[in-house]
Amino acid sequence: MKSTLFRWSLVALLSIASFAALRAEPVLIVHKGLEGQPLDAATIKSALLGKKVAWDNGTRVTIAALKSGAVADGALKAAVDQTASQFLNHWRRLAMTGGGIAPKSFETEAEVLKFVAETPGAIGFLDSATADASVVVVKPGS
Amino acid sequence: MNTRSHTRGGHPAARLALVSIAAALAGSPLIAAVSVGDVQVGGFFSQGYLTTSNDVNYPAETSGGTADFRETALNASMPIGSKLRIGAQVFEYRLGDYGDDRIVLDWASIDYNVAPEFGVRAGRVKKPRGLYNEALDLDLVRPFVFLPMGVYDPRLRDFNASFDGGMLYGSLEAGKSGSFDYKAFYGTADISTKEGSGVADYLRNAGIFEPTDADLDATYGAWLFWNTPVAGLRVGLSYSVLDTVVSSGPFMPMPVLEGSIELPEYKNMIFSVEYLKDDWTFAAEYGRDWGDARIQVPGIGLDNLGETESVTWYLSAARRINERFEVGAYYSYFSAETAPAGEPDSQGDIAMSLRFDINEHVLVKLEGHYIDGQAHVFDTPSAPNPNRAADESFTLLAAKMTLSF
Repeated sequence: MKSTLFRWSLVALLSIASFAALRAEPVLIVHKGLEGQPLDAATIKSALLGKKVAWDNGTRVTIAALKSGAVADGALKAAVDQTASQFLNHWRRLAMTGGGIAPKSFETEAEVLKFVAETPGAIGFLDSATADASVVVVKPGS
Repeated sequence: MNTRSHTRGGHPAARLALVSIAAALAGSPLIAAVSVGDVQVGGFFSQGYLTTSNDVNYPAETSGGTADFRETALNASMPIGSKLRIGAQVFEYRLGDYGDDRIVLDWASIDYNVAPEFGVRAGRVKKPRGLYNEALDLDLVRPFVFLPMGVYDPRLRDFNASFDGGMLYGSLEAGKSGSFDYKAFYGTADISTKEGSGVADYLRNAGIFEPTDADLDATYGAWLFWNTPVAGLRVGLSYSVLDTVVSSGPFMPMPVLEGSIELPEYKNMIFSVEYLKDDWTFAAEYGRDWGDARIQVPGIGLDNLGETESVTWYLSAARRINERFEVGAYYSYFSAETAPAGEPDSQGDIAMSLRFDINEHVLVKLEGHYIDGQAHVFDTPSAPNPNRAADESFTLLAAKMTLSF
């Protein structure tokens, strides 16, 4: 009886975990100062790839990147059609050939959120469940 | 057999400092570059080992093995306001005799981005040429130790790495047709004939004179890439000119006389295709170099105007397996269209590479080449190949480690 109960509990736990993973939705976030700025898919892509260096309100584009993981891959795939590895190489090429200044790179979504909330002109990506009212949420690819 | 010292180095203190910085950061979980206030600092150190078979020395003196294979770079960049940026990178390398570990200013520029459609960069600027020329020295952004050398010849870095001048650039949206990235540049470059100059060896390889001076009037060109509506697919064309290359020195058969070469307009064109699909990267390029060449030895009344032309192409594929491993392979072909009778006129190169990322700062690579033909092989004191005319096939093995931050 106990072992059956344990097995069913384990199945339930795994199901909840799987459901949560399926529900993870990468989103782009920007500093609140960018609310009302044109943030269409082409503009976001241009900013993330270093072609657009300043927003229309005059603040500099500053990218906060998660170093790796499903959220980074999902957000970058939707926004610039690159994997996290390809995105890293793109910016390494730019930074080491005079073509741009590399994004700020972070280990955790909490660090990304804090940086974007505090930095005018910042753009980053994380899971929708992590985003809060301190930033403006933009769905990548929209 | 390689009898030269393997421990030469022009600036060991500087290289040690950079290696120490990189090693200290190699264990850091942080970022791909270090920020000191608004200044972003980055760099890398690569050390490798090369060996070739059949007593062939390519692309440097490699027969018997050599550890004279390294690159070191340190850069700093800083934004000023929202659209202005300044930055610079110092660089040193050694590939056999080439480079001589001499520290050079790789790039130093001021960049003003008016809008995504238009920007200006001036100073010492990396030369746009094909898919990967600007990143020729960046071991950390590719799976291969050597990019296909027919297109990206590491010995000709002095000609192709950077120029002093200005560049206009931008990205133009084209709606449903994708977008276009463009660059147009004009400037000049200092062509060194000092010890370690790959360009001097290129001129020396003709066997006519020993170059003691070289001059380039100007270099200019354009680079245009179409980011097609197919996600990950881009197609491009680049064209550049070396305007009036002149070099002279003692005539080799009779050093008391002076010989010279003049290339009035040496042109390069590269057609490129790159396709990124999930973890795959496919690339193909076709390149052509051509121009007139005037060789003169007034002391014996020699004044010969001829043509020089070479054609090269490659197909490559690479796949990132996971966070640690990436594999890649390419086939490259080089044809010396104007090779003298009896000289090798073609070279095929099959390469396979394995890259292992120990962490985000440290990687190692292993690469093997099977090379059929010796049209791209020099026969000079820096890469002696007295049996080059036999045109034998050979292998090249490369191992390399890179520390970056």
